[in-house]
Amino acid sequence: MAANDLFLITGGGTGAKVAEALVHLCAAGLGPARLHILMVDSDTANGNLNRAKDTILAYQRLQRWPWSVRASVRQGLLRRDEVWLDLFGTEIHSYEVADQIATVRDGGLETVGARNNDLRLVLDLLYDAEEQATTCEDGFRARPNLGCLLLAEHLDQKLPEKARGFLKALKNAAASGPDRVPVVVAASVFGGTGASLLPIGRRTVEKALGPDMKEDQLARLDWAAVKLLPHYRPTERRESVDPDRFLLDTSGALQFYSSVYDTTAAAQRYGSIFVVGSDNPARNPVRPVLGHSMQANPAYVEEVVAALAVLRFSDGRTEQGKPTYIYAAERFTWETLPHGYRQKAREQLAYLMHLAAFYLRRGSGGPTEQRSVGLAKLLRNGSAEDLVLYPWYKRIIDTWAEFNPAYKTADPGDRVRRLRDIASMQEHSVDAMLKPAAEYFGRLLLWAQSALEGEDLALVEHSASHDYADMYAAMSEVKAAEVDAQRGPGAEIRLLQPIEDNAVVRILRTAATAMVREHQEKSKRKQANARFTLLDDGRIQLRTTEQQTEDMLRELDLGGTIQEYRRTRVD
Amino acid sequence: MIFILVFSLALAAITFALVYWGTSRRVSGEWRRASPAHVANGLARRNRVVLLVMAGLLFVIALFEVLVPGLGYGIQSLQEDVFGQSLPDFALLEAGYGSISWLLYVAIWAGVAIGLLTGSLQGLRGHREFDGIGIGNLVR
Repeated sequence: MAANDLFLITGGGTGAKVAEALVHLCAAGLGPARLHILMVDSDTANGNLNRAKDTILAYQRLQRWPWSVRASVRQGLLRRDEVWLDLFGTEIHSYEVADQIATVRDGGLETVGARNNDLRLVLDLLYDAEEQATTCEDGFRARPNLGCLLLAEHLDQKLPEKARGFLKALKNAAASGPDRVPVVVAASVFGGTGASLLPIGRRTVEKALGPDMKEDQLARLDWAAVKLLPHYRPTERRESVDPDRFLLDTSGALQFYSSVYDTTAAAQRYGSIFVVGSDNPARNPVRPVLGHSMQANPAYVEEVVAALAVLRFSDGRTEQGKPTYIYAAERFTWETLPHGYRQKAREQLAYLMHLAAFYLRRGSGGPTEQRSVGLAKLLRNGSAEDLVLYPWYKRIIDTWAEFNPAYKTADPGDRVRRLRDIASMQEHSVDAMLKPAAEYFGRLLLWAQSALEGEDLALVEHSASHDYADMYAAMSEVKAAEVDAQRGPGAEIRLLQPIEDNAVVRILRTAATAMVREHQEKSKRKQANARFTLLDDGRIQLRTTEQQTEDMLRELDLGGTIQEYRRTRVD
Repeated sequence: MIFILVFSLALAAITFALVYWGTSRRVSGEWRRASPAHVANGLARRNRVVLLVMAGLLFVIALFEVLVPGLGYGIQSLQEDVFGQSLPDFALLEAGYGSISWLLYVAIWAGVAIGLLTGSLQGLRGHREFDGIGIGNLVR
């Protein structure tokens, strides 16, 4: 049974990338009602951690607005069906414990050994002098053998202080929610922080919940671990990041986990374990830079698979008697993606990505090419005359915006300026959401460039030979009732009040409605010159290029975002 | 009078067909990605030019009708040949060497105008993004 609350604890940079992928899946409408993410890292300025946090922030700025649409789809001469599309349906709360570990800060393991002779003997047995001396400022630098020892002590101190909100939400869910509350720990096993977190994650969180947590409530927490094996390969060895050691480190970590597993009580173990690997890590080359904000590795499809595993566990779709699920593929298609989300994930992500591509398409801008531009450019630079002549403007925007006195009393020629102006329409204006929408959609498309597209990935493609010009025609057939109906988590339906809406979000919902109708109406799909195609040859074929998207982001002063995704990418 | 009306409607129909074909062709061709404002302005510019040129031409013919001896009678004679009867008295304005067949000129101009505007509008139909363009946008 699907849970309303899902708790995800991530470790290190790879864990943060799993969180990032999960956020995008939630934006596509695949997530639960509420998602609580706790990101654990010892690398205080880890680029992937910061990118995940920025993605969550960008998502939250959109999620506060209504995103359900109810398309009226003709299925015959007299029959019409209602088809719902719910995007950004998950409320996401994020927390982090990313303080530098005190022992590390004070001088490494040898400082601990200096205080305790017995411990020093053990440390001498397990670690060489260099390892004991290293301060491991940069996320244990692929040395899980050090991290596990220190991280447990660190989290025992920091969790009650830094993750108070997360723990409170977990307690509330266990106390008031349904029979099970899914809690997932996701991390890589070949790095540092993540590999260290996996064996101790459950124990430290349950300890932090405190003794006042009732046994039956604690029993409702259903734990799982998502473990990522080496799935990318640095192009060269750099200090302690040695790609040739990845498999050895993985082997060592898994052996360590086995010993921990064997000595852990059944009630303390992870109920389900998902292992995601790759038959060809060299497919994902990475330029190695050590720690801090420079270590923002590109997103990979393996992290998407890990995020799908998290959702599968959240939905309660694991099999009885099968605690471990292992997945590694040489080639990824929508048909071979695991965890039972193929059709739904593909369709929902397709709508979201087409919406993003349509929004951010820069177009050619020539005098007869105005409809080759996307919505962002139209709303930002389009003339008032252009906008008001679109039927969807009159039907969906003009009548809605009249709730605002400044707009209603303005001359017809001045209304578009008012709609754009944040001083007139405040949070409902175009200016209020033009850039936030561009930031989230830009992040989605940049993320997808490496996560869903590339060698051996038949999931998403960019196309230079098509555009979304015909979408403006499709949008002109949308009625206000189709974008005004909202569906809540309990499937209750209500009509939106005008003050609950924003101009940009409303136009995006209009575009989404048009896409749903164009895809769902059989008569339209069969046309040789169909106005919109959701999937082409089984793939999501975006009608724009990567260059178009990046140029539009630069035009909107979001060029810095691009670097977060390209910094360590090897093209 | 009926024949004037029929003549005007026939002109309107011919103009409609030509304009509809021309507009559809442009909308599917060079205006494939143009905005509604660009299309409306383009059509309005064309329609204004056609209507102004028509008005100018008819004005010149009317001028010659009154200034050139025999031309006025020639035009009326032509009308009798085409329509089988001459225009009624109120449809003529005595002036100069002849009379101005003002009703005929008005009928010609009106027929072309109606055909032009309806042909333009109909040529946009089937392209829903242009549904916001009305008659007012096509002549301003």
